[in-house]
Amino acid sequence: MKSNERYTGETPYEPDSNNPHEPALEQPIRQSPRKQKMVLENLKSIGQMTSVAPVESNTHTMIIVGQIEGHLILPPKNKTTKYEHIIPQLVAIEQNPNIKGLLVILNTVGGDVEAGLAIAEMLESLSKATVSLVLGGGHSIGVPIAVSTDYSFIAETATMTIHPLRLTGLVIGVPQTYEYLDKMQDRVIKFVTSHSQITEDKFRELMFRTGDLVRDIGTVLVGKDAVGLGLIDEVGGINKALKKLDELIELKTPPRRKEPQ
Amino acid sequence: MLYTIIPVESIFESESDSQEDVHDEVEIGASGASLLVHSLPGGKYKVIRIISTDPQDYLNPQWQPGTIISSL
Repeated sequence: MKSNERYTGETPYEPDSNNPHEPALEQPIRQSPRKQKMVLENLKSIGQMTSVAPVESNTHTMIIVGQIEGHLILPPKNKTTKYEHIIPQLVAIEQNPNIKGLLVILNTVGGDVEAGLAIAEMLESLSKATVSLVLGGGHSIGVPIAVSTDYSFIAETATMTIHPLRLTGLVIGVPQTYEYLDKMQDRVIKFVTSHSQITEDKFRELMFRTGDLVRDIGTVLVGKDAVGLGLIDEVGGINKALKKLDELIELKTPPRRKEPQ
Repeated sequence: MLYTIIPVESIFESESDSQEDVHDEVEIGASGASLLVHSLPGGKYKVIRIISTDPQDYLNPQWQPGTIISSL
């Protein structure tokens, strides 16, 4: 929504007590100005006319987009997913007996290492069935989150960038800094390799590969490549992910370790 | 420490060139979910983003991004 769009205050919002979920398409001619305004607002904001009536669902979904924000509040122009939102949500999901499964949708450019690892650890230790789906991108710290669930999917066109951790703009002057960085990196590598089929050697090789990325070291894995290397379990979209989640819920005791495909 | 593909310079780029009115965004609690809203004059809010894990919350017509709500 653009900030320069003025709200005129002509039509204040009033809840429609008669039928709040009534699809607008059913009455294309006789629409109240308020409803028309609502539809127009929807159209402007999300490019969609109307919403579908709700259905009871035993699966919840967690959408991790943009930067994963942790210890540092990022400038407002960054689209972020906040650690303080995600962690309590995961606690609530674990405690809620009606929620049987969780679908994690990732489209992230990375972010705070500790926040990312915390989310990954939370997902890994969740007793409910969990499935992740990488759409668009699951880069950097998105990789451990993607592999932390019981089963992982990647869209055919989605990419995952594996690259070393670094402190940009900082010259590593003392060996301690390098060791600290190395330790942080090891935490990521250990988590990824212990929760996916990829070997540590292979993952390190991808991380430090030269020539694949312009002006940088690392690797970009597109859909099938990530599956071929054993990082992600399967190529698929929302239908496959939800189907798998239902299967895992059926099993009641979701497998802690991933079975090879 | 950040581990991201976005260069640190672009993350922390000076805010002067970004004219988004994000400073007026506030988070309000709704039944079972959180809404990120933009304050409007007269105690009204415009929904910017829904923060919830229940997919049905995203279909709630009253919470669609862009909807004006008076209170919760």
